[in-house]
Amino acid sequence: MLQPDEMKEKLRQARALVAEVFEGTDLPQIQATLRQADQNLHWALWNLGEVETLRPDLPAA
Amino acid sequence: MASLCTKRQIDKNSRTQGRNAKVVAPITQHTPAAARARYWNALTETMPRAELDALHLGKLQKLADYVYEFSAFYRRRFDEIGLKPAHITSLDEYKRLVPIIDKADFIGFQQERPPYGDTIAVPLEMVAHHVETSGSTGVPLAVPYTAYDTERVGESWTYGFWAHGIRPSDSFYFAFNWGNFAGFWSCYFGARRMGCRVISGGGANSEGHIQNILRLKPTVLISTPTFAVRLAQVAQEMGVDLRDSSVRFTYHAGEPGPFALPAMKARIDEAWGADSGELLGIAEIEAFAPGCANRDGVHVNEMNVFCWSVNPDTGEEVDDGEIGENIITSYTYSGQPLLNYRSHDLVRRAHDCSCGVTWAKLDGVVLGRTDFMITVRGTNVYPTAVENILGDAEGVSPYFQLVLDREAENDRMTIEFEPDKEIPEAKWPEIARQVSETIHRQLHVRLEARPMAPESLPRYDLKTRRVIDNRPQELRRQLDR
Repeated sequence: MLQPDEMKEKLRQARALVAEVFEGTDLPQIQATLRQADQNLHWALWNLGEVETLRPDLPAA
Repeated sequence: MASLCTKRQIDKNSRTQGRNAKVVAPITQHTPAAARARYWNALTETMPRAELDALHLGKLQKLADYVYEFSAFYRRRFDEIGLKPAHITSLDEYKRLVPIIDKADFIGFQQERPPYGDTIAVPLEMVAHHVETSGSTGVPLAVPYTAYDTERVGESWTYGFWAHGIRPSDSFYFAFNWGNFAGFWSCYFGARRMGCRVISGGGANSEGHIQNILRLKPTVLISTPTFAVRLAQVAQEMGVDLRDSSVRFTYHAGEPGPFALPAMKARIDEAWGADSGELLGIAEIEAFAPGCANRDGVHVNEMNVFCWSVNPDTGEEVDDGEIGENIITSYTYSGQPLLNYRSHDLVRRAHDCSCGVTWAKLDGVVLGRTDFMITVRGTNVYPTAVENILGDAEGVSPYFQLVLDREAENDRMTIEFEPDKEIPEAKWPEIARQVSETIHRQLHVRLEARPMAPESLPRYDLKTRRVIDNRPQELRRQLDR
């Protein structure tokens, strides 16, 4: 089992990957799915005790 | 993946085998170990107090930064008193420095610049879902959820569902009509978060709900507590025994429920042959306190909100174990954040619950209200709001009283009033109709207005007793008994 710090690190990496793909596409559908993915990753971090920002930073539709 | 069923499921299946056997679906959304977990998130639900408080301080500092940057209302409020977010260096400083606000403080902004006024903290295009309070004080408060807010606001329900024994294999029946009311939308988000099947009862009358439940076989009923009892009565009239139905759990909000009123829990559990639970929420702030696994109170979701209690008369903080007014800050309404919000709920905070959750427990849920509120057919009603309307009503003398009792398992409020003496008796019914219509238009609840003969209502030398509470003791909040 991963320790909380290990989970947080992997989730941060996942957010970075999501942001990279978001910036690299103009497909609105894919951006919409990635925005949701980022929200959920941010929420997972929040519920592991990470308090970096109150909400994710990917732009709204 | 192996199916999993609880002892309760097995027991009830055995009891009803051959008549209306229950289907227990395999859990497919969690690993087996996760599915057997005692808590929805053991890491945070059992977090030591010192770590929780450190998390709170970090969140409150981020929140103060956020509202100062994005909320015109809070920037103005902070500037008026020379408060900068950097001044908040401890939980005590937060409590001392950040102004306590009330609904009245910002509801005016929404009326001046509808729909959200200066309290909105995001561009309108980021509002993904509009909901409202029930309007029990006369004006519904608009609540703008961002898409992220809708994901987060349901989480408290999910903590409560898990503690209650509800699992992703369960299916939810929502016995209410879908409108803008925030409460049950947040419950819907929570059921979706857990991954359960959701069945809407929107549009059905009571008989229709019963038929839907028999046909679609949900395992969880979501309703107000009194409506659960009402549905059981209707079922009985239809010749249906709901104890034989598929429903194993009922879960409630919106009124004093099974964890506040043991008599209510006994009624619901007996009528449904199920295990009833309760969440405490406030539409404009959060669905913030899921039920405790011990079924005698609720736990503040300390991941989503920060709460403390004050003496409502002095404003001084009260210690754990003492009754005080709950002051709430939500971290998860980024659309319209509210800091140090007066709930008017009188609660008794406790820690060290035997269920293992370290989050503050509200023993007995809400013990009373600073402003005495009752719930009539699912709508919160403040007697003072009714009094204010009657005070201005044409043809109504200063002699009136509000009589509270129970009818068909609901709180009922009847207005007894003496018409002005010069008005002939033939016109009394028309005045009563106008009073009832005015109250319905302004408070969204239908109350019977009953004209009484002149000089028939009691006169008081000192403070007039406006509210006559004839409800059974066991169905009132503790402090109202």
